[in-house]
Amino acid sequence: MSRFAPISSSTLTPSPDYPLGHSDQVDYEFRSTAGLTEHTVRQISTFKNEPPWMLNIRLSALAEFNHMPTPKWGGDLSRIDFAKIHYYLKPSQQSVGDWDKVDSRIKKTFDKIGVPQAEREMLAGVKAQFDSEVIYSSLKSFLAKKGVIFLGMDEGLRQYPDLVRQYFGKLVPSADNKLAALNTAVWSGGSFVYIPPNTQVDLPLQAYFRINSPAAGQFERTLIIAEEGSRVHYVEGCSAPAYSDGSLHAAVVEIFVKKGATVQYTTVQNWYKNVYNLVTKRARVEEEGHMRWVDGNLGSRLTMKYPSCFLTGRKATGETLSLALAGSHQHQDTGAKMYHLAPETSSQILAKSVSFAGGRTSYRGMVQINPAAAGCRSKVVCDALILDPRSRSDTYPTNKVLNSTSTVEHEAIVSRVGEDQLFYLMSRGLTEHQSETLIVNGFLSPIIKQIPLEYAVEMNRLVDLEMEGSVG
Amino acid sequence: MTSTKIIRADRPKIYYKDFTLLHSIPGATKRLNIRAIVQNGADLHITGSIHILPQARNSDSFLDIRVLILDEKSRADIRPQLEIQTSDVKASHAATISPVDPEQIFYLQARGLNYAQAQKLIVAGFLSHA
Repeated sequence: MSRFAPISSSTLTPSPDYPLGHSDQVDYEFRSTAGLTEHTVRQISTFKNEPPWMLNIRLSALAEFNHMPTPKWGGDLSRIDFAKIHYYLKPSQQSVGDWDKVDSRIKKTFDKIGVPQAEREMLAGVKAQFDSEVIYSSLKSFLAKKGVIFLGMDEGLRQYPDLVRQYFGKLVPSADNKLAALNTAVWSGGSFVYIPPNTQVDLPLQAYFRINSPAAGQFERTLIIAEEGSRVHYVEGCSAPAYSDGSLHAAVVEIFVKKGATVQYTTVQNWYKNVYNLVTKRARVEEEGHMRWVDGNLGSRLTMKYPSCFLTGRKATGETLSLALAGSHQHQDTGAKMYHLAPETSSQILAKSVSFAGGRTSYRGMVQINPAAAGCRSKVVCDALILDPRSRSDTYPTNKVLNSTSTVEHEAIVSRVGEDQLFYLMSRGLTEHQSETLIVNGFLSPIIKQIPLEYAVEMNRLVDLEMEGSVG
Repeated sequence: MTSTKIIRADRPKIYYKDFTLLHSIPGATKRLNIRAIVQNGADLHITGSIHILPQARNSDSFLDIRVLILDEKSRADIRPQLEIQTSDVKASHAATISPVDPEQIFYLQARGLNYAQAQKLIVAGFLSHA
């Protein structure tokens, strides 16, 4: 890619139609009243039949939430009205094991995203989350034989309370930030994954989410425990309908990578443009463990998400590959955090972003190497494409080295699509729009290559969709 | 317009150094190279920003921050930032924080210099290489 090139104006404009922007008419068995009160939190816990210790965690998190101010850094959170959001919805559908028994209106939604084919073809297990409830859960028998647990978080708490209690909130405590406190108070759904020692799960585990009600929040909580020597790849993707009311998505993901284990967590996020996507994702990586976050941010009005790794054991490695697309009225404030707490650890952050039609992408990152973390290395690369003069790109990295034996490198480049590259492609018969799309996809390809094939295809399709003009 | 800043943080206190390359009119070219050494318990904080405003078409900006940490008690907190509000730019930055390369020290020691002499030579080269 030519880094520096003369002027060319972009032909890429956002699509006026949102193909997944349909609203499903679904009955709601229960919808909490708007606003966040102790009564709401108690209702949620009662509906789920939770043990008292979980209710206590929720209640103390609620107190912390009320105590903490809304963050003033990052994106603009001032328009979120916490009092107007409904924090719990339960559709009239009990958990089913067989896809055929799922409500047909709900099924239609997932057909559009493509769950059934994917489940039949390649995947080990599929759970579908509809609003705040996991309604479909299936686990292939060979996973069960291996001792792998892959359940909805509610189900996981019911069946394995001691295991959940051991890890829940140990990596992201409720007072970590205001949105984590909110999630801890009203969480519902999400995944619970446990991989026993020395067990490799070759097929990706995946889950889907959907916001489907005006002013509905999504507060899923995911907990992944990979015991020593194990390996797993977890994939999540989400979509939301085209509502004009504000929607809030405040998830928490905690991942424990034990000695010698390998975990990859891939996200393809395509929330519609009225959704606030404020997520805390954190992994703890022990000796010789490997953690990789692949983070694709395509939708939402504002995303604030910084997948992070705490490298607590010698020779642990952490990696974040982050992709951000910001079109009209979108702000992607994303990045990664790497904390080196043990010697000979290494980390890598690759962040690629594209802003167009007035969108704004901001990379926000932290690499910290603590005094005891001798002989560590970290490399951060941020590349940004700005396609037109209305759009904006920022980079806000922090690099803190607290010893004299480690090396941190950081580089960032902001550029636009090169005129000479466009000319090259157009002189071989492509239109200007086709050429530009090809170049943007090529720019993003180092990250898209790390995503499972069906997601990579979906992501290329989504990128094209986001950028399609009135042609076609 | 190219400039170089040398920073010697060599006393046990916190150093704050902020730099901004601001592009507010079109067509400007700016390059800033920052070279810093940190030793004797110094704590160096650098914030280097490139800020390109919407009207600053045809801007060319480059910021390079290189920091050498010379001893165990010293530390650095480096924040290179970019705020780019138009597409017609060339803008990039790089930041490196590292110790003196042990292989370079070995090379000089193998030719008869002691550690202190070797480090002094390498630091001198580092600071002059802008």
